[in-house]
Amino acid sequence: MRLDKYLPYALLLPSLIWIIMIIGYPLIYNIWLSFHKSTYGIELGPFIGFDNYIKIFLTDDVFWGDFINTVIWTVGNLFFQTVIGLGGALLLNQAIRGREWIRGLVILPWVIPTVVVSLVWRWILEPDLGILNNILHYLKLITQPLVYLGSPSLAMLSIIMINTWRFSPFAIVLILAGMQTIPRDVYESAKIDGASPVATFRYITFPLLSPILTFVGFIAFVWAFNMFDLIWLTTEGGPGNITETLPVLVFRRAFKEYRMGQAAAITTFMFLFLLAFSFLLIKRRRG
Amino acid sequence: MTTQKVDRRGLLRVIGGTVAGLVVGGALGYLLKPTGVIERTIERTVPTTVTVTQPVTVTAPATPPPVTPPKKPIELVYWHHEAPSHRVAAHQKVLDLFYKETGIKVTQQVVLWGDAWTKTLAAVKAGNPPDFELSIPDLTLAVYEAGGLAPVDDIIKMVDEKYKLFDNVKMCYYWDGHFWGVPIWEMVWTWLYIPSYYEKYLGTKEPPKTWDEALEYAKKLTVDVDGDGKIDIYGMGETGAKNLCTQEYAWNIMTTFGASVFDDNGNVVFDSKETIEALTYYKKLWEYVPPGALEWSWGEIELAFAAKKIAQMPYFPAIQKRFYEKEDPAERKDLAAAPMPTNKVSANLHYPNDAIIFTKTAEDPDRLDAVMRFIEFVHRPDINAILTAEQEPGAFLPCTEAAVAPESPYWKDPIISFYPELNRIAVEAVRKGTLYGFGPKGLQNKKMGEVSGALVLAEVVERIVTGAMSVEEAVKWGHKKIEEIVKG
Repeated sequence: MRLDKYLPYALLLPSLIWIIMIIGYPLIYNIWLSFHKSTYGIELGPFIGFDNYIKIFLTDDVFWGDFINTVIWTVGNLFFQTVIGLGGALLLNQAIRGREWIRGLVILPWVIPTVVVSLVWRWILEPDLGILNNILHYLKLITQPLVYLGSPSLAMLSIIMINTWRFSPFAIVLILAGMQTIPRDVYESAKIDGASPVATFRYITFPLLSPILTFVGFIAFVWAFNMFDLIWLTTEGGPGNITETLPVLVFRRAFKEYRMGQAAAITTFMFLFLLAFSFLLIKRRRG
Repeated sequence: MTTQKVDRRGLLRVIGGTVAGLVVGGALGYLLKPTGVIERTIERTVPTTVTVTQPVTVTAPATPPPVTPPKKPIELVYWHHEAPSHRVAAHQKVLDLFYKETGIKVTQQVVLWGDAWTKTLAAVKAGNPPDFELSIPDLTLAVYEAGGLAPVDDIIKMVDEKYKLFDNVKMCYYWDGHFWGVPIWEMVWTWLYIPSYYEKYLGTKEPPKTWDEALEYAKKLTVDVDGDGKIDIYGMGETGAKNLCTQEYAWNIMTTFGASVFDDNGNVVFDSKETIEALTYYKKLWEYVPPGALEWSWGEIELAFAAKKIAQMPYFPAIQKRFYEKEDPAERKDLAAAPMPTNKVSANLHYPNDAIIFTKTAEDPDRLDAVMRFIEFVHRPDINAILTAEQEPGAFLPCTEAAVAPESPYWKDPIISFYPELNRIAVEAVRKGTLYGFGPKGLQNKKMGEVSGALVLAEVVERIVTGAMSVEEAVKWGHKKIEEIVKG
């Protein structure tokens, strides 16, 4: 009897059970929780239907502001990480001396733990004691200290830059790997035909890299959208709520205000949003 | 593409192996789990009214209690949240002394403050909390709401009779007709300043008595020392971020104006003339704080003051340790404290730490007896001095008259005795300490825990100092937010 068609399922079964246990069950329980007036650590609470969702979408004074912050944060990260990733990969693809060493060093920010990155950057950007302002002051580029993480106008940009510094190496490595797969003879043919470097990039490199760029962009988007630790450790969502994104709001609601039901509703919204985004992206790629 | 045939025996072997692995893994997990988790069903614990009535044999402090072997070996476990190694060492010293005197082994487990709420509430819900835990009013209230606490009236009575607890301290743990935590040590704020700056830039050694004087001082103490256009010394230390540090700054100034969050009937009274007055001064003083203060928390403001970039500020007297560790003797001595400036009420922030006993412990008379003996032990002045002066001089203060008496070992600590006047003022601050949500009759409103967790006071300050709202608007906003939290 040919049972080979059942073997893959059997082999997948342990992983499937594991995924159901650590992702599936918590996900469904979270959705269930969002329909209750639940207080952390105390009880599930009464079933209240869509009340939590109504409160969040219609009467909450911070939710939509935080959603916009999340979009700004995510798009900002996506843009800078992709651009710097692409630029870095183009540079490292050149035949420069010490290229292998540089390729190894470039990955360093990526491997530093987030806690260390956050704390060190907080001190670098400290207006009075931090090294950045001291250098700028020494170079006479500023006369008064610039406030970064504490400034409503600069805080979001500052944390985007910190996160970009941290994650761009990952983008560089991925895009560089993608570049290695582009056949050399395509470039040679273009050179013979007299294509300029800009035209080569525009008509050969960029189109052939678009699958990897889409992948990098997608990863950057999802990771940034869900990021909590770096924002919490640098600004805790402040000043005001200017850097408070949805993950930070969820943490605050669940573990500082004990409103688990509302926090669950926000995370359910985030899950559906990302699911819809992924679906649209995949559909577009296939199209 | 060729497909490979798989025989039935191979498939059965694979499935059988997978199932066997799951069964063995599950069985091992079941057998190796702590018995407490297996035997106890997970259900909501309801507040029990187990009153502590175990008779406790207490002898005079000069004579160690007789070592009476317990009926069965008792080993206690408690959680605390002081992670630095020297604090853990101080706790261990106390535990070793307790074991030597009583034969009862007590084990400490450190849970970081950031995890304290989630882990404690999860442990209560799972039915396996430690025997007792060192806590603070917000956490004690949260555990009470989760139904995990036993009242401690008799322990309070015992400690009060022997060592005399400060009233304002013990009332932070009183609600619903009972005490729910036994104060172990105190934390207070005093006015701290750099005396050499006062002399040099103000021409006086006298600290400010009112907030108007403090404001005047702040202006004169904001100095560009070397004339390069950059301020080198700032006249005031405050924070403006939405965090606990700012929350405590807000309350500290509010209490000196007689402002409050709730009244004794639990009504929200945040939007008041007193609150507006207090926070108006907060805003005026903000002009003289370092530019980064908007994003600061504990570490930054402490370091800035220790580096003498800030001339004066309200804060924990614990900062004396940083000055004590300076090499230059003149620098070591360049720190002083004073009572908090006030325009109305002589008061300051305080944050008592307590021991809470879980209902699970209270249901076992032998364990409860052991915990009570331990709590009585740590209040003995010589032992309490280890948990206060030795653990963190200036940060943790005694909360009983006996422990602050002139003959108490507390005053013999090297750092405490190096700054005698500063620490005398700190002890006086214990007696005048107030905390948001608590009054002379105890807890004013059980929702104070959520109000505190939501950092409403800090957010009000943040809105003021960033210019997002005027003082009046921000206070109105804060009042509304507190009312929403109370309504639930």
